Amino acid sequence: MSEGIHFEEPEVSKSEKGSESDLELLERGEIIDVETLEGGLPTDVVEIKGFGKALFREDDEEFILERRNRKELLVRSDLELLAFKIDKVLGFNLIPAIVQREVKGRMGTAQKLLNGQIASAFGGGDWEKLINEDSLLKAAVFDFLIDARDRHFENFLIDVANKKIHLVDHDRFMFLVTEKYSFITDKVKEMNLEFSESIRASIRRLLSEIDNLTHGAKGGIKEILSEIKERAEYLLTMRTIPSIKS
Amino acid sequence: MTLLYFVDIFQLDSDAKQKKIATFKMDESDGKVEIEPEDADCNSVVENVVNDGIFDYKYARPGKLFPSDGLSFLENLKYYFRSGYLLATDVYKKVVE
Repeated sequence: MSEGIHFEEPEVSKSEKGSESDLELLERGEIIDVETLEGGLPTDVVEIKGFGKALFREDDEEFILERRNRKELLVRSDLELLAFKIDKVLGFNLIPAIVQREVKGRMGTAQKLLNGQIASAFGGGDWEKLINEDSLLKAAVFDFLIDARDRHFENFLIDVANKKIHLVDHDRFMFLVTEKYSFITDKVKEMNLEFSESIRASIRRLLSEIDNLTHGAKGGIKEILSEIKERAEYLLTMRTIPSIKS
Repeated sequence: MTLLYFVDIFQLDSDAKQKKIATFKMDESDGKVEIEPEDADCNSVVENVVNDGIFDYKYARPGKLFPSDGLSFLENLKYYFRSGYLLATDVYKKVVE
């Protein structure tokens, strides 16, 4: 990070203040209903008083990598919260609000349930036409920064009314598996969309705050943040996004 | 007697209620995976999986899995469809006389 460059703290807007109280409700609001969904990975829809519905995933889903013969957590609150934090610092608003909380004695993540539809519902063909270019670029930048390993049609949502993307599933597979894939970065590369000054400013803001995020981080988060920092510095030297390929 | 393996795919609707949109089915005798759509909404979802394949999340082997990979493909569907907006069940079995 260059010395002598100071970035003004953005003013907290009314919508951001609203978001803060939403987060508090998501984290501490009274749960009035829990419905367990059908599916291989335990997921509940929880209804929170004054907030609405959220998707809850418990932290302790384990699965074994047979080749390496060790157990690794799939659902990890720390990774989901890291992704949300990065998105918040960037100011991109791609990731639905998510917190760590307890539901029925189980710790996990609760994430705001959106009305947007899974991208694959739009036939896969011209999905990018349903989104404004700014939202598409932001999603691509985000996926590049976190080195997204598993972005496909079933883990991003399209809000057709507002022409925006929302990103979900920032778990072990998204951060740590060896394959690398993001439909979104590939699409932006194909469209040759160039970064706006606003996106560059967001990346610079992330760089100015990333050392604070690293402080006190554990469990491999420090290494992830270090790599995000390198990719952010690299992105600022580019005019468009490189695609993620293994 | 035939052993069949199944995975169901569920989608969350706007009321946060699930509906089954497809079933992937494999006959153990020939290892062929067939898809039984339950809903018109499933077409794009199924097409993406069938055409683009899915990662081998469970064993971390390189490359992608397709229906022709049989049980490996079925076992990994629950990791691919994990957002909550779409969910795949564990593989379950039925014996058919």
